[in-house]
Amino acid sequence: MAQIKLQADGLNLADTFAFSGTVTGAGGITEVDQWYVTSSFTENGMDAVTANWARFPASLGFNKIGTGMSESSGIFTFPSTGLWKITWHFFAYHDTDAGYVGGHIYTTEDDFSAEIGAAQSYTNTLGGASSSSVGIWVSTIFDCEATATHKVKFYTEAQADTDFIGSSTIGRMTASFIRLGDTP
Amino acid sequence: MITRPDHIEDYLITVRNGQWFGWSDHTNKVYANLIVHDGGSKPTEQECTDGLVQLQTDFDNRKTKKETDKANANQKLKDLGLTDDEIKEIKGIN
Repeated sequence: MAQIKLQADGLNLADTFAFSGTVTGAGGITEVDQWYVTSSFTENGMDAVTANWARFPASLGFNKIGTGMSESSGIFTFPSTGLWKITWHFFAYHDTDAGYVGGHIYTTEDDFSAEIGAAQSYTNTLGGASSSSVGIWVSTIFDCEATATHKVKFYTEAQADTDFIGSSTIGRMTASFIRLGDTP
Repeated sequence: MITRPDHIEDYLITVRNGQWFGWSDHTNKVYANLIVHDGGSKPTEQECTDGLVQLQTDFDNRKTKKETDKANANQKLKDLGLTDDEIKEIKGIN
């Protein structure tokens, strides 16, 4: 800082500070990651999205902060413990009799011996109508207390055959992860 | 489909349900990079090409039929003596 603005009782928060160096020890976001599904698929019923995941690329305007998540068969492992905000969004369309489409985030505290329904959302579709489009957005906050056991995976659900739209050039089906802070 | 099919992936999702296929290089989705996840059969390149053409034909036919049906419906209403404004009114587009 070109100018020291400390008062006897601490920082004056009404002042303006222009940091030009690196600020450490002040908290802040240390982990941000985003993944997407790169291919479409047709599905009915409720199924985990287990394949065709890739980290959102710089070509689509993203660069992760920190270590980032790791993924295997649709199960995501956190790089560190802490409170994480998790978001799952996708786009789908159908021309069948599907009356609803849903999205789910499932977490686990025991490496998926058991799973926790952390978040779910549904939308009604125009059942029987041709070419109905739906969007799903689900979010939760998860306390990852141990990286070996606390994980997350993502589901789609549809009443009848529905096309879930993945893409390698557009973020149509994405999962994002932001570490909010330390585990309480 | 909402948009006209333009890639063999549009055909592949009709072959069977689930995430049964993917690409060895998802930034280059050509047949040579098509991989099968579920151990099932892999369509031939010709099947993919023909399947895409069929989807495009079906899409175009549906679009043509829709436009034809619309034109025919309008004409039949006019033949009954309705004005353009009256036709718009019953369609709820006035």
